[in-house]
Amino acid sequence: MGKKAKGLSALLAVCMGAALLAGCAGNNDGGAASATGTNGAAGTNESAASGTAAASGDSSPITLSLYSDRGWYSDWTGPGAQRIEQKTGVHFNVKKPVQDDGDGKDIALMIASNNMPDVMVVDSGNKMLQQLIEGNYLYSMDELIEKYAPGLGTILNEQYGPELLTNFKEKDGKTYKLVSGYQTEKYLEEAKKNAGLAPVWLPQLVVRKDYYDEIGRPDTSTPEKFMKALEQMAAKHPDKIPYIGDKSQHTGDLSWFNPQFGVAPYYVDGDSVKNTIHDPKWKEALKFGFELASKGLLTKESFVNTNDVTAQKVAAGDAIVWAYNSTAENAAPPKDNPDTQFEVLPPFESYMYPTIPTGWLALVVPKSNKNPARTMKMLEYAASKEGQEDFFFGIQGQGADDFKSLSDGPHFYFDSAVPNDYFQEGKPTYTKSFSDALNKDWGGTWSQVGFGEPIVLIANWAVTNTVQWNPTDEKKVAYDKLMSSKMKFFPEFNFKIDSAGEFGVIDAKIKSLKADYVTKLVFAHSEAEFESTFASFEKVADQLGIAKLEAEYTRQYAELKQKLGNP
Amino acid sequence: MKDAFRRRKRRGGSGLGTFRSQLTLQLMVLPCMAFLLIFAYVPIAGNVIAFQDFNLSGGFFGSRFIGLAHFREMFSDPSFYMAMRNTVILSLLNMLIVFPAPLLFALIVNEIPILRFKKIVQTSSYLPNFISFAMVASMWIFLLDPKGMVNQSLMLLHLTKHPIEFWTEPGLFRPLSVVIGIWKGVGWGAIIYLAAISGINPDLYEAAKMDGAGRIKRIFYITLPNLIPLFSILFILNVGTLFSGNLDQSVLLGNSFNKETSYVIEYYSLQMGLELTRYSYATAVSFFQSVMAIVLVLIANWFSGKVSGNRLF
Repeated sequence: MGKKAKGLSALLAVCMGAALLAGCAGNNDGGAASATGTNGAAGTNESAASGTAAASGDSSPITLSLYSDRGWYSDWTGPGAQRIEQKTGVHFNVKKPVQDDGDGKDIALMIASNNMPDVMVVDSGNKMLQQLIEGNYLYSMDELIEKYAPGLGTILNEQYGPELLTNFKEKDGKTYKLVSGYQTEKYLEEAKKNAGLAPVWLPQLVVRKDYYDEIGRPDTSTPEKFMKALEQMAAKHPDKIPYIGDKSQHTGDLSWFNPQFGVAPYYVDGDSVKNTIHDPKWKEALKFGFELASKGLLTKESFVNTNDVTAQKVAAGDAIVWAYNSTAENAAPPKDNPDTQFEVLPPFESYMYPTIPTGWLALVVPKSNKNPARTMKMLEYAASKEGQEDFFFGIQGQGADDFKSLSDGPHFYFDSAVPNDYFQEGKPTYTKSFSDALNKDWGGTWSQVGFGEPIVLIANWAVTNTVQWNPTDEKKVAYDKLMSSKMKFFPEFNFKIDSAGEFGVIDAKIKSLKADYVTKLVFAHSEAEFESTFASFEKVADQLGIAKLEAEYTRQYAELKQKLGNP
Repeated sequence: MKDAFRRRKRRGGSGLGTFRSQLTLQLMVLPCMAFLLIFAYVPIAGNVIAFQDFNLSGGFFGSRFIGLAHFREMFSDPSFYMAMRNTVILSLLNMLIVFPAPLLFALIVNEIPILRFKKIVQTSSYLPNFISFAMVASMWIFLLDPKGMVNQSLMLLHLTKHPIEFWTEPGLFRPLSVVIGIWKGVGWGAIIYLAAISGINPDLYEAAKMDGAGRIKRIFYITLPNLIPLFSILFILNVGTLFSGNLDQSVLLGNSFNKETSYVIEYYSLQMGLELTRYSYATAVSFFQSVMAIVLVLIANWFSGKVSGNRLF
């Protein structure tokens, strides 16, 4: 090897080593926080000083880092985000996982590497959220609001509902998260007024209209009547799958049938609160599944198929009844009969859809935030009606037909014919072309316009949902009337079970046990086998310590009832 | 020969001297050593959390030491034993069937006389290796669906009256896992054997031909004996995976019907450890797997040395 070649090889080796070490070197904020006009460490006098500047309308450019645990969160580069950036000067450098990370693995790494972003927008049920609060990593919202954005407190109390700053208080009496999509009294009132209480995605049983017509459209409002009708349709079409759903709807706890039987998230037995495995209604739902399966009406496919596979089979016309929701009525007809459509069967008389109000997304501000003042001013704007318009409605137009392009809108207009409590000008309504584009390709359209859910910081559903609500649509009003009475809220069940603690482990084991036994029970060979399997299921659950877990449920239930003023 | 030995001895007389004379080569090795050190050796220290009630804010030094509590919990959990049993059985099946398959495939491919056809076979056999397991799983689920191509064909040929429930029958999970493992990995795994075959001295084949040895005899007396050292080393390395692996199959092809045969240790570790943010517990499970892997590699190495004279170290 010549001297030159040796030298080159040595250089190459050194470069490789340097590259390796560079790769290993920490990058404090993922290259994200190249902030312009930012201040020093959080909570210092410098930040306080910049707070004054922000209060006086500081819109100088600043880059804040934002972490979201939602895979669908935007990278803050779309037209919507750019418009907001021009208005506020705030650019968010977004870090997000490829897939939703509700387990908080990313947050765990951030804590371990002491590398927190300026803002986090995560699922309100993220398992690491409590650790962030208890580990003293977060600013208290009350303090931030008081110091930097008093207007935000007013907006939250008046437009969202006071519950946002009262219902999420921790043991120390402080609120650390701003929760979007929380069903406050104010929201429920608005939703009721606008026929928007019952979401379109409530679990339903959907039937092919042609087959249902064929058997004379019998009443299906009880499990027995439904089963009889399904048997009749299956007998006429033996080559079809009588009932089909996907594994997420059935594996675990037979969740698709639970609302039909009015199963609550927990079973209140006198003063004590028990797991659903002790709820007679849940056993009834299981028995229903068992009876369907023993008649060949429920097959193992519904416990194995992914939703894609199920959707393909439904589209191909392979199924009679489909586990889906009210949007099925807009779905394309099955391939084997383009002249028919899907129809939602009326829910069973016992139908009850339970909701434990916990909210949708939680926004928190870590103490590592480089400019709390600007952050809070941004939040104040985002929470306001103006901010909600910019974040969720896009560009305002003059009327329904006013439209240029997806990126430039106009995306909405105020329909003066429909009064609205939040906007004097009338109900915010999507322009026709934008609405058509959404109906054609929901996800694709949102990513093109670059606003809406993918850039959410805080959402006031009472405002943002107005574009979806249509109190003049008779069909929607009828659906809301039918289903809203079947929805029930259970704030007293909002238990906090630490997943890594003793109760969390028992809870996880019971869930896993349920998933194992549900299939054994549904596909039992006889009623005697069903009963003996159920008895052995309860016995194993006892051995896993379900009584301990239920004692904890009961304790927290009593506390929550007291807190909610219902002792 | 003696001179060469002396020369080597003289040049390698002092460690520093050898290092200096090999400076360029040593520098080129350095990044790989640094890589191993940083990503393979330093993280071993993290195993300490298996003996702690680890919390993220406390870190290694601020977390409470709890001794063998996690191991006691692990060994008292019936799910752990089910997962361990399935892992070992699946790994054994892989070792006995999936692992030797590339060798057999390489021998077959090597005997294909038409070069063009040989290349087509080789290329098409590599392709499944480049497909992600998520795609592979979807494809196989679709193929073996009760209304899928395989069942439709079987029913058309009157080989079965009712569709076979491939994915919900616990007894079928292991054979299917083996079939998919072979389909996905046989072509890729055969590359190393084909490379080794091409390194065998052609004179040996010529001489065997002249002595009247047919194809089969040439395979048994020349090709196979030359591949045994390579096979032994790969086998020793493979033994270390007996207590791990098959997570892809378990997560993507497993379900509550076949759980008793599809649930493996890594899935257990994921569910009972990481998903519950119990990092200490997940580390304890992984620590157990690592210890078992080391013990097995040592035994396999010793055994291979005894039987074939080929040792890894």
